Amino acid sequence: MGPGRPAVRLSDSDQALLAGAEGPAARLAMRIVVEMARLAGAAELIDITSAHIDGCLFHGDAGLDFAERLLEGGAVVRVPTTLNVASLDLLHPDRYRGGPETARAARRLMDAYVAMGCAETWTCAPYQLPRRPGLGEHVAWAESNAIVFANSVLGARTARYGDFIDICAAVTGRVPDAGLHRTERRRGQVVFDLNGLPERLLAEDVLYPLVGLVVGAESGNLVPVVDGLPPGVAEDRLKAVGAAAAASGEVGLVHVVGSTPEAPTLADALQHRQPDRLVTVTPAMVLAARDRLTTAGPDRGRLAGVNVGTPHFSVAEFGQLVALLGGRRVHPEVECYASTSRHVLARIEALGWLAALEAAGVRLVVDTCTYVTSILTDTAGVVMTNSAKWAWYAPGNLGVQVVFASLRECVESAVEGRVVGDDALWGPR
Amino acid sequence: MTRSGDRVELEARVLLAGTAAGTALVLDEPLSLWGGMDPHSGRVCDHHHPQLGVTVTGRVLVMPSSRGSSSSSSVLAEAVRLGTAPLAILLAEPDEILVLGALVAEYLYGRVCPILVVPEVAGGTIATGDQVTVSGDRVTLARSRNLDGTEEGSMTARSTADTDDTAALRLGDFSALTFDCYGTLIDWEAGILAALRPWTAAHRVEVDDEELLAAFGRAESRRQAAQPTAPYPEILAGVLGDLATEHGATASREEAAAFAGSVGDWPAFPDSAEALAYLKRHYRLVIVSNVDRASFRHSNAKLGVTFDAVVTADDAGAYKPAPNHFQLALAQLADMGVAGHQVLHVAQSLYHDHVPAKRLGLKTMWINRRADRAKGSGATPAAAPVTPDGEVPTLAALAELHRQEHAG
Repeated sequence: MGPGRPAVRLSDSDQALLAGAEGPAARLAMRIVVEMARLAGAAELIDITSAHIDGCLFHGDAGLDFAERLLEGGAVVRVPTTLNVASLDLLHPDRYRGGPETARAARRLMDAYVAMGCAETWTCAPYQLPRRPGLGEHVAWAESNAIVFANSVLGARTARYGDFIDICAAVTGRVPDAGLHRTERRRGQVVFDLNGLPERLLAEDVLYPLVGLVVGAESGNLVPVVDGLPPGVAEDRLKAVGAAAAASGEVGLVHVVGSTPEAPTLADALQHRQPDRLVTVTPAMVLAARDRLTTAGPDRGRLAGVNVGTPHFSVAEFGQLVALLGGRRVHPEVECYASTSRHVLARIEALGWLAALEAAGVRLVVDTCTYVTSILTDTAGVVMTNSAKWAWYAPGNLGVQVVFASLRECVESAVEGRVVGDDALWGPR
Repeated sequence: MTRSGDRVELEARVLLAGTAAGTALVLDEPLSLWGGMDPHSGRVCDHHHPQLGVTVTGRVLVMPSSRGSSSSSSVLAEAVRLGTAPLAILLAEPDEILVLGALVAEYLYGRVCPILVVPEVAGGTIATGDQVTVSGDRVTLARSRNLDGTEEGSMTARSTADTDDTAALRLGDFSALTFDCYGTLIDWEAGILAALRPWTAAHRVEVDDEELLAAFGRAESRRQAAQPTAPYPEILAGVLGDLATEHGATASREEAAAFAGSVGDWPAFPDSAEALAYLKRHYRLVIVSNVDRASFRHSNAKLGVTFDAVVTADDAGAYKPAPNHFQLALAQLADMGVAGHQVLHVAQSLYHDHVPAKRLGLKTMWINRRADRAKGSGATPAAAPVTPDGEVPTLAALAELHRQEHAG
């Protein structure tokens, strides 16, 4: 397309797909993959071992038109392919508050992807499923938090794929050899030095999404490296860093020194070169990030809801939630939702936690997420969350006022029926 | 980059080829279309974006880059399908997510939204309002004349009140002023005291003016947060009940009704009408007020000027410091072709106005009507730390500042 750019070298089977040997859908998918390869300046296409599709979330008829065009053209996925959250909770359809027409279209979209051979996983956290890609494995994952997790925590390699290209990659089994698939593009470029943060803060889960927010906002299109955290940061904390960084910035990979596989040391993360930039993260930056996420006024107002599980809650996070509830019930005037996948739901059911959560009045949402679809019935009061990603998007998507807080603050507030701050954690307001 | 007269020709890298011609809309910060642009209205709906409420439809969208979710492809394709997409998109750096959305839309619907990389986007060469033509790898700009005139060497006006604080603010950069009404244009403290004094006298409530105003401020903000959709007279009636409880007194139904109906009697500050008449010649004027429509009509009569839009608590379904008023005002201004960065919010209350307006990325001017008071914040609660972009003691001083800048 661009003058002076070398053409992409295509294999015989790539050429065959382009020529329509496998039907019109595979041809359209390959055309799009090749266009994107040209755009990225890729020399060739490479094989992938799995795909994760974000296009199954209904954003409007364009997505449905595309999926049905592929399906009519005989599209079938060539690699194991998982599906991201959709617009409907198929296990609790009564929780959906949108119009019936949107629900029908959303359902048609989900059906189209299943008909193309995708697994009905309906989760934004495919890394919580049993089979996940390993170090150096090339995959085509969409959904920004899943991309960061695959690249950073698993050491798998995926570019920042989105709707449309995700299913094209799954149908062709090929992606451009570009971006984060290439070793040199994975070099850490901007170092976030956390050594100045107090131990007390490092021990708190709530720090991690806030670090992610700072990283996302400050990285631009550079690959960030987080340095100064104790080694072996838990996966759920890394998940929170990545999800927040991907929501507030263009981050597709974040190295965490001592915790992620390509960053045993800072020098490894930097591929033994000098960083382009150094950002010293101060406690004040963390507090500013927290305040940025809270859109409710200083008097907070009436608490209408509490939302956790964005990205989808893991088994370990449910364990924390059950422990923090400690047998208490959610206040009757507060809607408390936890979003997760049906896979994790089955596991917490086996552990007996599901019954405990339901008895406590926590409503489980599966297959979807409370910020992409209409679940909340009361959007007039403030809503609390421990998810930076939920706090980032919900005011725009749902028109609600948000208070960002720790999981403990969320639980105490849900039980008491009003916004409760933890002064020991933040210092008095 | 080549210049000839007021035309500038820029070389571009074509990401998705096509032709387009239209008016530039420059976004100061990257925008994720998903969660950031509503494909049904074509408006920016990202609450963290400084240009919340501006419409991209039919404009040549110029922004440094896209950001955030990979679902932005879908939103762009949907916007193309619905006819709300920009005419073309100019970026400082390549963005595969946007190109993909436009490419798929082209395959599905045969409609093209060209996307090009223009390095000058990062340098601020293109301004909102410029006429942009996209053809092949050429992007041509035609400057609007007044922009050329102010491009270089214009003086930076300084506030008469506090030169350091307002050094960076140029009133000429704005095309609309949004106003708080009560406390800023209407001397509500005088009005509140005049309405409450008969009650304190009748019930022998002994409290000085500052204390009474502070108690009013506490009760009012509490009620407004708890009953965001209650009409303002109802809030006032409830506030009188709260004041009575606080001071161990009572308030009859008639006294509550009289206080509830007193807003129309609250006087305007002496400088408001004249300053507004002056500012009306240079700006669109919008009211964003914690009041009901009926009460505001009485106040408006005292202010004289016709406002271009009036956003009340009736319209917003909430009371400031909730962001609803500002979002509505920005949406209405966007329909008049005014973007968020062209809006200056003018207000006395840090709590009700400056905190939420700054949170939405608006520039703000503090009419510090209480600058001569030793302490306290009068009838408004104390606010979280916030730094307005400028400060003047009166509205007349703001008009004077504009006059000086205009002359300079």
